[in-house]
Amino acid sequence: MRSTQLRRLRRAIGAAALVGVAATAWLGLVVTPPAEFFGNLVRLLYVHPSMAWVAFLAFGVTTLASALYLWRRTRRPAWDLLAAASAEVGVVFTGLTLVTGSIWGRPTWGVWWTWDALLTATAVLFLLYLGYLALRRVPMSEERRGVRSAVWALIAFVDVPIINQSVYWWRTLHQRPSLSIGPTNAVEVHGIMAVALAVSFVSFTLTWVWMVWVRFDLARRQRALEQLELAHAIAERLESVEAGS
Amino acid sequence: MNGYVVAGYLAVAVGLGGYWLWLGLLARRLRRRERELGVREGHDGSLA
Repeated sequence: MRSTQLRRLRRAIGAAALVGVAATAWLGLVVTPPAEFFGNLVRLLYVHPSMAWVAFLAFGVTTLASALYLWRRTRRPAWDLLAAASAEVGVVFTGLTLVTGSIWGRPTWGVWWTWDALLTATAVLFLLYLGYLALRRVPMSEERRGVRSAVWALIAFVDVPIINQSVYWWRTLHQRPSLSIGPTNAVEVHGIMAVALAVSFVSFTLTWVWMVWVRFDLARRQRALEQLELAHAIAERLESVEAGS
Repeated sequence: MNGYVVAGYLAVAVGLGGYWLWLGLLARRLRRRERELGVREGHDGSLA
């Protein structure tokens, strides 16, 4: 695919994400009815679970790209840049998961925050990936940075299945997943509420795709500029040495 | 509308909107630097 076509595709994804997010807000705030037990608070569930899903997806892609970078046969700077772009967007979505979860917790559990297993593991995930982004800012060679941050990313991802299973392993305030296939004791979501939830999952996933794509593109342009600046600096230095001799 | 609900949706709007703005600022800074160095806009070098 040519670069102009790719740019058009990216723009189309961005526009679809924007329309989807607006539709999520409209469905969540206006169209859907209040729930029997939670009342209007149920409207927060049209954004909170999709934020968490996107965060896990983002860190999953970071892990995959990091593994591809670590494997010598597939080692390309592009994998490292993709891992970083996805992690950065993942951190934004994890932050929003924590904030929207806290806003949900205050009226339903009576506290903004509690050291519950799931909440604590999610906060640890946030800190782990903030650490990953901080590690990437430490001055070192490109390859060393790539390898070190890829190893960090693989270790950090261990927290994702822990978060996912924490509601089964420990007694937590957080409810078990609300959406599941087959006979379970999960909360039933159907009709327009299921539509709102589906629209939310799709639109925030598209938002993630668009943001990672843009961030990745900026990162590789930044990398190209840094290489050019280095080449200019070396050429200038050589010129001054030659002029001096 | 419930205040907590409004706060939740506002948080999402501010978070995602803020990141989108930051990406825009980063792109602007890059474009300016590319112009200064005489690089074709959008040039990404080789990633092979």
